[in-house]
Amino acid sequence: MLPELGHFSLILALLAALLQAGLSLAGARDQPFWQQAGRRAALLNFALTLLAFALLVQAFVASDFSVTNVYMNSHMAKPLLYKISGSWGSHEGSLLLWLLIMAGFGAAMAHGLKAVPADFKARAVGVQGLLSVGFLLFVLFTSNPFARIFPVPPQGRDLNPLLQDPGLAFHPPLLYIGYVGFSAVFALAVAQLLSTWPAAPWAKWVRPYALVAWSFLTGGLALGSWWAYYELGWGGWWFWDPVENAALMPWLAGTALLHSLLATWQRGAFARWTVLLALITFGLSMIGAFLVRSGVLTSVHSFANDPQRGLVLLGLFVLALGGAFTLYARRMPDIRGNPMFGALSRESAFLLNNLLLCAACATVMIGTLYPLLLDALGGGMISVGAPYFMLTVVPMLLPLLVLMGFAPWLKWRSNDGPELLRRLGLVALLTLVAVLVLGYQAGMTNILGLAALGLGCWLLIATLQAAWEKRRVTGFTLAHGGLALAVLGMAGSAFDTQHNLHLYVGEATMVGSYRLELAAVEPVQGKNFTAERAVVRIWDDNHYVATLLPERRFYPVQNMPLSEVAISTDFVRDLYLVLNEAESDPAAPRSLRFHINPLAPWIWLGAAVMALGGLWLALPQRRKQYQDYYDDAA
Amino acid sequence: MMRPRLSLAQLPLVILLLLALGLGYALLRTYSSDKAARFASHVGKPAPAAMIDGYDPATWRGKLHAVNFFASWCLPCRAEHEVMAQLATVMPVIGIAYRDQPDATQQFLTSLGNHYALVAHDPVGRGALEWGLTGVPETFVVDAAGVIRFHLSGPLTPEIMARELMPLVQP
Repeated sequence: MLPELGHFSLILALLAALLQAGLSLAGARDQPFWQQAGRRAALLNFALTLLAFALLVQAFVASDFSVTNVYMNSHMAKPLLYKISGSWGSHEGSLLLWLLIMAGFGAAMAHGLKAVPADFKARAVGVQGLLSVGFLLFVLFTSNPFARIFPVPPQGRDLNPLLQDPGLAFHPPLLYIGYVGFSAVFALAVAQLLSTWPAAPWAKWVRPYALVAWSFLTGGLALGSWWAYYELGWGGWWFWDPVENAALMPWLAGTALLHSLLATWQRGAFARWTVLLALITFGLSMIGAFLVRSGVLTSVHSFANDPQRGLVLLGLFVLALGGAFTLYARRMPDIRGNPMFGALSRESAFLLNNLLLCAACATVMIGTLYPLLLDALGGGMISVGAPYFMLTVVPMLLPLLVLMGFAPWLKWRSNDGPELLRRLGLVALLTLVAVLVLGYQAGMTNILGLAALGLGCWLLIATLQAAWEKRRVTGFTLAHGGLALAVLGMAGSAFDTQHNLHLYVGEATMVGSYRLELAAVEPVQGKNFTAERAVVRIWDDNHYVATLLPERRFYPVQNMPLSEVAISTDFVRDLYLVLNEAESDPAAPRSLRFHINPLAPWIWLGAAVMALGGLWLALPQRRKQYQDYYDDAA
Repeated sequence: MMRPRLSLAQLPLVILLLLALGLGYALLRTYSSDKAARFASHVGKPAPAAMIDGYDPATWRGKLHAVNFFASWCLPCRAEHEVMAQLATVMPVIGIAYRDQPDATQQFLTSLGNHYALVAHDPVGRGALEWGLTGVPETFVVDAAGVIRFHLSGPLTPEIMARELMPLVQP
């Protein structure tokens, strides 16, 4: 009964979304009553989707295996948290989450956009309604999360053990708020093309939505990468997997968008470009969804695929973006901004920022789609991996870090060059000292690693020094400072070391200054797995550091072995230990892999700080925060 | 007279349509064509000449041999390993450990047996790029002239071996 209620409420949500789109768009010009009805319909759409979502979660919690989705992805013995997170672990369930967030942003625009012209608001709500209609049709016709099976199986097939992890339980919701949040930005951009209000206030209305989406996308990406680090047990944290790239593309475009929105708001600069970039950013989110769900690329993230879904998603993508771009081609000349600025000004810095970020984004896209293209042209199948991206994308992002050091002192219109250099002289000197000290610590051999560390130091020192001199900490400080921390963490991985150990129980060995002793290997019985757990004590120069407990798990339902990494961190370095599979010969020593990863936790810490900075900037401003921060004189 | 002209404002639309056409074509190919048929493109082409770790194709010129990409983390590779042992009795097989930890590779070989004439490591997948790898396991057979004569993505089975590989050994 309840699953049917969920299905039914999705059908009603489709009607509500149709009303939301139809009434808002038809009444946008001068029908306040229709506009209000459209806003109510947006709220109704959200409430009905929320009900459907809650009913799906209920089916998972109650282990109702008559629902195919639950049967495929759950199991009675699974811990409660993973029963709940299982509801967005599958293709159908994650699309329902997508719908929920989309309707949520629609309701937020209907009731949160204050002090904006009525026609503009109605159009934004209406376009968001159209997007909801498209995705609701997609879910109802190709991916019903409430489909039943008969006869009812007595037990479920369980969720992939790799996904049974607290980090991954929250990775999809954060990521989706980011992806789908850009749908609101898209709707606001299309509304701008329909209404053509002056560019500066438009950018001000859009910016909080873009900031919220960007912050959650940052958080979601960081959580995913952290999960890969501690769960996959390969010691790495980013693999340039096609699906990681699919999430990175909207992030890069979204980062560029935040900056161009600021320039449009404050100076009316880049008015036409900003609208286009807002459309493109959500387009990239949709391409990401297409790549993951259509089966054209194979990756660890792929869902079970069928061609129909891919075609429908591609159709939605072409309709949404094609419609928006057609409108853009007609209306672009009506969008007027203020293109005048000096060569040495914040506008030109933002221009450079947008060029570099968009070039990096395009490069990631080419690398991700090239194998598809080549195969389609009959050139055979290839894969593009980390070496390509490290050689192309990373060098584009490094100059950006240099530029960011100047950011706090750049002024609109034009800057005094010598003054800028004087301001940053001290920062450059401190950076040099920091690099020399770090180089002395880490050895001078790894020049590229040191250069990356230096860039992180430069950005961190420049950001902190500016906050100190202006006696102000803002979301800007957190966003740029957080990136500096993350860059330091990433640079630290250039100094990672890895050691293979073979130890008998009771035996100890030295790795650098660390002494590791394998005290025991004991059996463990988990709720839905069995495991072997090694007890390894670690000393550093005779000081006890930690006892690490890496596990080798076996999940019988999915017949899958899994390594559970043990990590000890003091925020300067991670000690990272993996227990390998036992040899067939029981008398053989146990083999373990030991990584020392300097600064690793800073990657995710920095990303969290960045996300908080973004959210801070999205809050309603009591004072004109940005202006104050940048233009003290103004 | 105004002629219709492509303006800058229409560029996004044009790029979008090209992209959509490309993605649509890729999607149709993914589901319509038999994947195995596409690999035929590698057969008959010269094998890549780049060295992968200890495997130097130049020194193997003149000898029929197989190149098998595998990894300890790949479950189908485990299943395929026995068939590799059979293959090793009719031609030398070079094992290339794709994106693997050397200790894990070693352990894989110790526990399942090492029938490879040579084991090379391809830790970042650079060699896999040269060979156009689509995944692991994947097997190529290179003839004496250095030309790829057989290419299989996925595990080798005794049937495929009898049907397609044995004729290469006894012409």
